[in-house]
Amino acid sequence: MTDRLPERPGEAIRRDRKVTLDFEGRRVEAYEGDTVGSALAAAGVTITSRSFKYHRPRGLLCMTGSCPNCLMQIDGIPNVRACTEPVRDGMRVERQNAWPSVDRDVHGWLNSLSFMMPPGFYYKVFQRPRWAWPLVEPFIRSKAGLGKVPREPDHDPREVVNLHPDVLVIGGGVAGLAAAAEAAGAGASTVVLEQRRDLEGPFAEAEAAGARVLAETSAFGVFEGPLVAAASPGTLYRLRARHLVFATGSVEQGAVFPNNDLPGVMLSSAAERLVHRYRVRPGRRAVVLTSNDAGYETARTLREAGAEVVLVDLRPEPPANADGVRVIAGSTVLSASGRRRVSSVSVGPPGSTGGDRIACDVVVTAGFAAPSANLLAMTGARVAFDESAKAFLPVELPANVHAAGGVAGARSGAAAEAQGRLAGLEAAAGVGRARADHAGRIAELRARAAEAGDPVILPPEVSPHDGKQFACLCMDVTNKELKTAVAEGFDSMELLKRYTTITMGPCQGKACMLASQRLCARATGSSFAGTAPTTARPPWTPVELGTLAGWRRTPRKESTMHDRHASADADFMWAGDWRRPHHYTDPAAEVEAVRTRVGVIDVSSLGKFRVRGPDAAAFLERLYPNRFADQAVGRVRYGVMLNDEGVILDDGAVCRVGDDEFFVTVTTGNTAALERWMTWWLADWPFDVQLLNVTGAFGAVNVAGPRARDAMRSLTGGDVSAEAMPYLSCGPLEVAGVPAIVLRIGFVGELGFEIHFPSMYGGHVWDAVLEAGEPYGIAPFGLEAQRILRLEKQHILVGQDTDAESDPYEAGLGWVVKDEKPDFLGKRSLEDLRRDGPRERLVGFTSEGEWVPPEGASVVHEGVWVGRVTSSRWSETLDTALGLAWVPAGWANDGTEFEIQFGGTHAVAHVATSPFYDPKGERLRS
Amino acid sequence: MRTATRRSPFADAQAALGAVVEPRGDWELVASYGDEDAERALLREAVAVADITCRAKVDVRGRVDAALAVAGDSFVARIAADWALVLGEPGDEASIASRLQAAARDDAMVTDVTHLYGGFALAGPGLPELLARLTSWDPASLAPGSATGAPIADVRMVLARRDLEVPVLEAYAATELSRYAWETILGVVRALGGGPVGWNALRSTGWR
Repeated sequence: MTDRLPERPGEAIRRDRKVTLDFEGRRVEAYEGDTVGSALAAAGVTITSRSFKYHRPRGLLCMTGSCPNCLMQIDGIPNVRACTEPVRDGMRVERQNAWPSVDRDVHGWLNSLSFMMPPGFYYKVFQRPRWAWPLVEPFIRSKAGLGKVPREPDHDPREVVNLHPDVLVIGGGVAGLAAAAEAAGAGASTVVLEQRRDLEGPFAEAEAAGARVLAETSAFGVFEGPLVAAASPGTLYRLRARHLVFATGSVEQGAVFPNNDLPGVMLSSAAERLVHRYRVRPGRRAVVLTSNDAGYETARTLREAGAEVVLVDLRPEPPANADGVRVIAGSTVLSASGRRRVSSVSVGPPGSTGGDRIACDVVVTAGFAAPSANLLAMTGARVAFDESAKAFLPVELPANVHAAGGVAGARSGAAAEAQGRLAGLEAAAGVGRARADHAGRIAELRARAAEAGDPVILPPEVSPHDGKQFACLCMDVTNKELKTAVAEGFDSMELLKRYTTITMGPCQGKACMLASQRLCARATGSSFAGTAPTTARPPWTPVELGTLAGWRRTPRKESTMHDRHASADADFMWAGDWRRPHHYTDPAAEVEAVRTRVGVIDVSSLGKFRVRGPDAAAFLERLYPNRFADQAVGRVRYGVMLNDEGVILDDGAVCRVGDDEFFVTVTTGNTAALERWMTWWLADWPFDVQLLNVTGAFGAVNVAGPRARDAMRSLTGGDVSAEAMPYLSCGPLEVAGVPAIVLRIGFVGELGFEIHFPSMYGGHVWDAVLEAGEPYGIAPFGLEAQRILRLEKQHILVGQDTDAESDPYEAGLGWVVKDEKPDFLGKRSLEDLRRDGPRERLVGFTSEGEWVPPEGASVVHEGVWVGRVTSSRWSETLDTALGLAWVPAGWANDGTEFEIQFGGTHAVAHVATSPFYDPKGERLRS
Repeated sequence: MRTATRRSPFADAQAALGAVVEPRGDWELVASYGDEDAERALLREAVAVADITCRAKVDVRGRVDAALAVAGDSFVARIAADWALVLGEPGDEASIASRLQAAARDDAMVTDVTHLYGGFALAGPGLPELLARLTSWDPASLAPGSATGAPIADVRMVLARRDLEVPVLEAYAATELSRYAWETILGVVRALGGGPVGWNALRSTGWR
């Protein structure tokens, strides 16, 4: 802590609380309240970074987070703005983009080769021969950059907070806090966003009025809605307010002269903050360049801090009272010199090629600012040039949007406050919270808000002296490079932005927009007034990707028997958005239990719909190619749903549970889409039908296997005999004391009972089924066993064995199509498909050898791809690899031999058009 | 044969939190988590979540007015002109559904959806802060006593606002998403200094 000024009231640091930073392996002591930037300045660190392209040394410039000069890697996170980042004990701080160190960066030689690197040089050089660029690009990339992306995953918790205030005030300066105080005082719910950590100004009034002030929170974008996005450390705020007040102030700007990027050249915000808040003297010999009284205030600050000060005032007749500071009137800084830090400046009248040399170690520009209108512009506000303010100011605001303070052109604190109060009152009135004295106060404030400030005098656009004069510090763009780009035809701000990347760097135009506009105007022969800023786009301030991503919530669906599966050590897998047991023990053993004894699987994830109404059957007849009008109550039909192009959408069971009521099941992953599909058609067709997705209302288990009936007899007093409950029947039945709907169907190819019951009985029913089946050797089975079992039966899985072109004829499901029906979805397309005949067919196959061709493997003919495997498994029951595959239609004959290829492995396969297991379905129907 | 018992889809998660379970008809409901006074304090001073899955829930769709006219003491969450959810005491769903269906005749489809939804009561003065972290939906858009559909914790839910002694929002999520929703909501409730409360503490707010 080498250069702290004596303690005084109002400083931000706590001298009784020391913290220690690890700065590139060196211990740096700081005080609580310091920023990394102020701590390093106090420790005598002058060079805070190396520039993006030329590796020039850079130092603290703004101390407000508005420039790229102090971006550092802090605790592994790249591009942290050190000037605003609070110190924490033990934090690791490293400077970026230099080797071996920022202080001794060997890549500094690039600065002397800058003539070889004009704007867009990478579009022009190394492009011929073509092999050159791939070799050169990595080299260029290694020399430029902004820190290292951390390799470790970021597990820091992030929060997303949604707020809906009546009034949102962006900016907690004088205008913003005045607006908030008025709006909240009138009774409007009000939120204020302020990027600074420690609020200054009349925030107490705003808080006392009831405004919620979010400090250290930066708005970084305004989107449709309008939705305002803001970020604070670890939190993303999404704010939707009825009225928006933009009090974003202005951003201080530097001057353009040779070597205006040297460490020691800084804005008055940096000098003032270093002295007042952190008690660090920026230098011992200071030159202050200004054109208004703000510079005199800065000069006083520096002098009180013990520096020798020379004031350079652009005005020919400066104020008489300079408190004894030497004033050079009618002059500007023409150039700066120095190697690792500014050591002198040349001062003289604007445009002169000579000048007086003044030795100094700090150059401060004071009093030049540009309205911070980017966020406001994102609302669609229109800006136009204001001659007296020498700035682009808002002239047309969208409804419910207000602007106040520096962004609206206020040039005095009194005007800014009045504009803020006015905006707050108008916003409150806009949400129905007008105060009793509204009209009178509005009139009074309007008069004060219009108060004109001092005339604005900007520094010269450029100096006639030699040397690099930087317009854009982020991307190392000089006035000469802008001029070259304009000469190449990129003669507008938008084109210059794309070609030279000005305003596109980390500062997003905060530090360079004004200079770039003026230099563009100069190079194109246009005027500043005729050179509008570039389009404002988010993010206006940097935001971490993790903050943007917010929380990681993955909604997952689970059956009401999930805890039972977990207790049984099930391995879970994703099935759509469901978590389902993949297996409990060994899938082969589970298959064996189903084939030889009895198994139970949780099928709660099946989509389930209640379709009820006088036209329920007619609705389903139109929706499916199947016939349902003649379906008896208590019977189940296998339904295949098609879209209007005749493509298979889904399949499932359609159960008639009443004259005007059906219970329909669909596949797990399609439920939501089919609900939308059915609801959409129902809205169009003139059917008197009500549809309700009852998926979660019913838990479901399938009890399957040769001993399934025995287990069922222990579960119910009802008659479950083959005569009373034959295959493809359904009906109400009390199971384990619970009212259920039982379907006699069998996806796995065995005698099966699919029991649908009120889901909150899930644990009870699962336990009861296992208890009832225990004497018969029951075993729970998971999805893997189910897949093997259904493949042995050649039962398809829609979405796995079919795709967006699969029609029922090619999939071997043509038998469901009742084309004699007058109309149904897909009828017209199916007529065409039938006429043209199938191009390919979905067939079963067995393959020779022990290799199981993976799903997705190619079916090839003479080395050419002709089809694909959609499902495959090893069947212990049949002792072979088997599966389903799409093959050319002409091959769909039993025994046809074909070749399957995956990677370098081949197998010979044979077509099987009938189920491998129980081809006549006797077990299913037993 | 064991007695048929209904449990919330995340009953095991509640048991791990020390839930004190009481029978109510064939339901097992969580009466408390062991300290009802502390739970009442959470409701008065912070924010809490309670499992109200056992509530009777009857869905009415179509021309619903005649059916809703006989809802009696049940709370009617009118979500749309042609859709309402009628909420009653645990176990009352069958009687409510039959009464409503009789009144509706063929004008509306009345369905017992008690098992279709898991239910949560989010309550306490910290409710706005809780919702700010769970949804982009604006709670101020819902008047006390009314209902709507909106996402909470990225899950579509039916919401009913019940401002009683403390603000209460009833939220109903699909049963299959209930365990996820419980975990997510409880996580945020805890981060805000709140916790789970049982049926008894919730009743003390005047909630029925």
